[in-house]
Amino acid sequence: MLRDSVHIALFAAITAALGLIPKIDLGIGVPITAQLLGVMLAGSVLGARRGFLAMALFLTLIAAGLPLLAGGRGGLGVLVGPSAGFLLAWPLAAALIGLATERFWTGLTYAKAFAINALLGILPVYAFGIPVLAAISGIPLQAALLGSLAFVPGDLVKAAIAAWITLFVKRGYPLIGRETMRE
Amino acid sequence: MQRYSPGDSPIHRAAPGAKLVALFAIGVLIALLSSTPALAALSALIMALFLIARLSVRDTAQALSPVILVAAAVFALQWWLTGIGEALRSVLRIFALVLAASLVTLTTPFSRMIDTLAAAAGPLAAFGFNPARFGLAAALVIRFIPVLMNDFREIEMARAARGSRRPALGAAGPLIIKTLRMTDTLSEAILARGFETREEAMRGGGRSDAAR
Repeated sequence: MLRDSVHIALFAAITAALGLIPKIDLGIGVPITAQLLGVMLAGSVLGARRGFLAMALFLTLIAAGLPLLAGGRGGLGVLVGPSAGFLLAWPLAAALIGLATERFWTGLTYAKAFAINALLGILPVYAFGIPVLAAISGIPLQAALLGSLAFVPGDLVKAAIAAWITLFVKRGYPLIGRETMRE
Repeated sequence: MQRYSPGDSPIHRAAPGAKLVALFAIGVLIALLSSTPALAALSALIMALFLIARLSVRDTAQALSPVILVAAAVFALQWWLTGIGEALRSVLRIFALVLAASLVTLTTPFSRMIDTLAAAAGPLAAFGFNPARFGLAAALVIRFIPVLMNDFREIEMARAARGSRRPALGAAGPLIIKTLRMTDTLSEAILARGFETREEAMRGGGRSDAAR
């Protein structure tokens, strides 16, 4: 459906726009950005399939050279750099958040939405990003893990915001329920 | 910021697909090489390619700027944990890989790279991948970003005018619903101009007239 393609483009654009919010650098090189919020929203507003495609589209545009990441980063360089794994997991994270949100759609509470976004937004990204960081930079896995843990509090804040927006959009303009009705 | 830097060098003229394959080969090579001189030579070779592509020192420095901090942290940590040799090799690996990848981005226009990636995704057609749809979505992302920033600024200004000093977090939900409405109007406009019908005709369906 064409409408799906336009929604997919919108959430890729939302993720890019979130990168324009000033970032905080913790020193290890993986900057704190608001962009993971875009990943969470793509999954929990659009559902698994469209959320996955929105993030795949976003990464494709980065690969083709658009500077859509926080701080105006982009191009193939960031997709092979030490923090590449944290980015490459975005489509998977959006898909998992989407699956869980679809599963718990009827009777979705704030607590459930927060748990889905926190667990499935953070775990896949770190499970992918930390080993890649360790492999590319040659540092031990524990060091990469410790260095990355500093980002978890910020990501929990994003999950809290994502859960709030998810419920707001569910009440005002639900897209997941409609899809299940159609199919 | 890393962007296409126009030029007429052999590297600029090379097919994007060939450059991507070469980048992959360099990546494998970097993973396999384990001696410092070999890694240094490879890095020097990639730097030489920057010269052949007539890219400025500024382009090169900008290509490396996103990883400078990580590289410094990795260098310090590796030096402390295993010694200066391994620290040097780790940093050379990161620099070589990022430089090679940046070289591809700097010498390939966005539109050609998108076409190449779409062509590479051709086999995904079996799973419903549609190049025309992909091209439309890619163009829409670029158009939507300033629209979103504008809408956000408007809501922020309206809140400021009402004396609210909290960050405009409460505006996020309404903003998303507003943009979803906008995109649905847009979808209808695109459909009204016959995008789907043309798409089907392009696929040689010919049943589009009957379907309408």
